[in-house]
Amino acid sequence: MSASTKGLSRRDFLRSSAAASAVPVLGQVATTVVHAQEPVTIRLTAWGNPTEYEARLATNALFEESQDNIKVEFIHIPDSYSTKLQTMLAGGDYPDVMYIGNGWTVPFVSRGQLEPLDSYIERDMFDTDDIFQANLDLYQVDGVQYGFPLDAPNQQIFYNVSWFEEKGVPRPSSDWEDESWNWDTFLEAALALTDRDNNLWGFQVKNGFRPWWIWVTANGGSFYNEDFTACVLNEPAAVEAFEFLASLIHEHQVAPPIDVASEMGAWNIFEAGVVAMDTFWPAMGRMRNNIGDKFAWDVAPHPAGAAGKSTAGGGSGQAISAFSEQKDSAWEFLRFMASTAGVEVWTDIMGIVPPLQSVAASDVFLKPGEPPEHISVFTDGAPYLRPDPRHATFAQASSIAVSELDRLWIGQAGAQEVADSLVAQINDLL
Amino acid sequence: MAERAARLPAQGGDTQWSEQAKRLSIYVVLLAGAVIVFIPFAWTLSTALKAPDRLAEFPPRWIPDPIVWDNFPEAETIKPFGRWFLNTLFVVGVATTGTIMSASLVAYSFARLRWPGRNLLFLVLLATMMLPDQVTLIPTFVLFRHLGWVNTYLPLIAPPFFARNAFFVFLLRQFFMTIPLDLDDAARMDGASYFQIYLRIILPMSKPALAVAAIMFSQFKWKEFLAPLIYLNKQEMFTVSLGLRTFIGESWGTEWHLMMAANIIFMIPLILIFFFAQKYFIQGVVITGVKG
Repeated sequence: MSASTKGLSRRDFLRSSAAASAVPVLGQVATTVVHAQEPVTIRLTAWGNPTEYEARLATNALFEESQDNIKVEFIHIPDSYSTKLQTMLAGGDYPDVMYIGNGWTVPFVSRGQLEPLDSYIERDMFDTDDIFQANLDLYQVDGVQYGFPLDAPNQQIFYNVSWFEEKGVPRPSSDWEDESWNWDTFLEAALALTDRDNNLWGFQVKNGFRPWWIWVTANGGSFYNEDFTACVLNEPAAVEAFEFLASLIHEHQVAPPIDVASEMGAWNIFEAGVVAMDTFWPAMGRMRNNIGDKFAWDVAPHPAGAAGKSTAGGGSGQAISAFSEQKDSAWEFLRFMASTAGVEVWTDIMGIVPPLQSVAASDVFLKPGEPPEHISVFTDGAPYLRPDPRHATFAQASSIAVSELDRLWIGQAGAQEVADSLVAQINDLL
Repeated sequence: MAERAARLPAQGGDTQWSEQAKRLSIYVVLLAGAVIVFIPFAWTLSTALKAPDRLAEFPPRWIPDPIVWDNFPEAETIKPFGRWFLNTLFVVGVATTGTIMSASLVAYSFARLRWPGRNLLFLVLLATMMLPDQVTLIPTFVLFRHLGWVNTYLPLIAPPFFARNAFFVFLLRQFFMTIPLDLDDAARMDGASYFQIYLRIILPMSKPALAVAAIMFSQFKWKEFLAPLIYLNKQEMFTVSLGLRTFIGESWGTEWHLMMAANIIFMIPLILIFFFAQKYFIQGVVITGVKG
């Protein structure tokens, strides 16, 4: 990270103390130094499709080159990650470093599975100033740091510039403070872009949690009340957002029915040129590859609601297992992956928003000359991030909400009815 | 099924109009069924030949344009497929051998020998079929970890040697019970031991049932996902079912075209097995349907 932190590692510190210490202390410290120099293998668990796998191999190799003692055994878990990880943890086969979604921090910490990092940060004077604060906070519980982000993604609207130009519709503003891009102007644009006879749609309503969470928070809604004693998704701010999204499908018909979208492949229809605007995480590498020269595209924030603009997401990070027997070596790996060298390689291969502000401002991320033109929307949006609610019941609660809301999206029930029903079920969990 | 339908007139020898019409309607129904069953396979094949940006075309095209044959070599080169293939053949081969040996021996004991508590133990054995794998996942993991078997093939291939799969014990016991006891008596008169009866009388007479068990078990093992996921850590040790998941991204999207190309490659052995052992597959349906 910064020059000051690079310069003083624990081993350096021990070496210099050993040299300066009195004889009885010398013996003790020297043993530690010798111990630290024995080759160590740390075990890393991570998921990943071929692109992420490639990024892992590259960063692991770079880490191994950066020092002499520590090797990385990469346990690639291609699917059902949490099943395998929890089995390993419950069965006493502990990895040293774990790749985790930011939403797992609270449940993992409540089970005592993560090592607090504060003492390591303090000891090595590790500088965390360059990490986006909003993303760093995702790995904190009660002010204690348990992990570092590996990326800083948030979900924005990807839009088909060629399509906007063809229909003469003004492009959405990429300025987070410009509130002329709001729900009304969004609907106008969607109406002008839609051509149902040719299966061309202005927008896509996705039924996953984060795509609708953005609209709920933009309208001032919340998931839980402040002391987490009740779910408040049936209050007017949230219900209005649900109603608005449902109206895009049923009343205004600017978004394809959700079953039709799923038949077409909800995650691919933007690239295929079937929808003009779509909610996506910063999958820039993938978009650049798959869209190529077919059409021009760009990104913009979601439109402002009653409470302004908002975004969802947060990404994934790495943490040290509380049961690791090689925590110092695991720490070395963790801090390497949070360093400029590690983040640059990761960002270059993944095409994702980096967790370091300095890398986010560099060409490694910005890739001048390549789309999207307003790539800074992702980094400028950091203060607008409304992360997933942080509560132990959230995983179950959000899956209840998502499946109940399907009744609204397919037109089986009204927004208030669905919201009341999902709130009743979620409150039973609290 | 088509084969059986084709044999019908030969057996009856009746060429009347109504028979012809009946036969035609059977063919129509079978053909419709075959088309429905074939659709997912055709879709897999079609996706395997598409360019990544053509995956979500709407309306979908059955015949891709352009046809991208390169997906096959690409899927093969980005992942150690040959290795996974051999790993799976090894695991399936050894585990199937183990299951057939142990399940038939245990089934013989339940079907033919008399010993105290036999029926009770058989009930216990059947009860193990009701336990989902997830329930025993962590205790068995702890056991294998203490044995030092994690990240080896042993958790996948050793349990079958101890009649781990109650279903096959059950299947074979039911079949063994249909073999007349007189044969055992006659063998015993000639001085055969219990084990010799098992080896010389019961096994040779049960070839169809053993073949059915072997086919069903190897099919199950070929597709098995949870155990390889839990016990195998190194990618070069993966089996096919686990390796195929490497194309799935939890957050970064799935490379469907490559995954489907890989699927086609891995389906081939199963299709070949079915092709050559069709008779036994159909017998398997009959045996498990009527006697199970």
